[in-house]
Amino acid sequence: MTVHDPADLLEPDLPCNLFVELVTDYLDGALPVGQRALVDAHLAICTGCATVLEQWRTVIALAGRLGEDDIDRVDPVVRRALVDAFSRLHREM
Amino acid sequence: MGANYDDDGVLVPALCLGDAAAFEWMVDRYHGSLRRLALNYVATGAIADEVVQETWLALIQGIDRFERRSTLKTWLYRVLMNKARTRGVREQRTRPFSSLDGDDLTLSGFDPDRFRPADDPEWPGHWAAPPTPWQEQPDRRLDAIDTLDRVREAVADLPPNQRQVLALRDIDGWTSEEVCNVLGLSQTNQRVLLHRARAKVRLALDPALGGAP
Repeated sequence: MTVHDPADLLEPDLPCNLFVELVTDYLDGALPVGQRALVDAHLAICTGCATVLEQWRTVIALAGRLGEDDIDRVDPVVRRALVDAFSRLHREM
Repeated sequence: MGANYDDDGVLVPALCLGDAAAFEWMVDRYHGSLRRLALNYVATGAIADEVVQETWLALIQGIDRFERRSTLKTWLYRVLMNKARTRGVREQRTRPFSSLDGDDLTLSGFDPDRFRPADDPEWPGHWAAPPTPWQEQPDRRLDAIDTLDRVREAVADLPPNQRQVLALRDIDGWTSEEVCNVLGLSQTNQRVLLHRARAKVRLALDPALGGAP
């Protein structure tokens, strides 16, 4: 005999195809409390969606590393010119 | 050592007093990100460089009159956006922020066939073909150079509006409030653009990291 927890019948499980649209909202803490609880409950039992969440986090972490790119660093000549312009203007004032 | 320039209450007075270290701190921190943002609007790297330099000059000349109705960072990026947009229009290369980008992917980048149909008797909308975890690929390091190259290419291939949001949120680590403020987006729009952008980067990485087709 199967005993059903009444909560199982009342709480519909979040479908995975809805979760994948909510990952960014979930990570931003932008979901309403009720929806967030549904997502948390779903993640606890769904390895596929837990994988998606993990991959989203990896994408964010990897994107963060692009900020360390050399091309992002200011050209020393330009930097020097800017700092000179800053100092010059302040001497004039 | 140095002063806490993250605090506008420290940074703004230091700049007004001509503290070159404060200005250098700002240049080192924001120059690359400003340039990246400018490139979404103008045709060449050379024009982007000019726009960023004009922005710095605007800061140098305007700091005494800065009224702190926003953070200095927000003000700086707004100045850049205005200058870049103006230049973009002049160069006939402007790409309106809200323009459709011809996306035909689902929002999250998953093929609808990977989920069970809506009329599935047991688990409608649940995974039929769940994703393969990346971290279980022992021969592939997530932080390998070629992985980062793939991320870089995927970001470069994004439509400008998505790239801009992802760059500020995930590359520069801004909050959603800051991004909405500077780009003039609603929270919802900002998150939709960000979600699509991340979905595409994920999709670009998936085959190389052993994801299921």
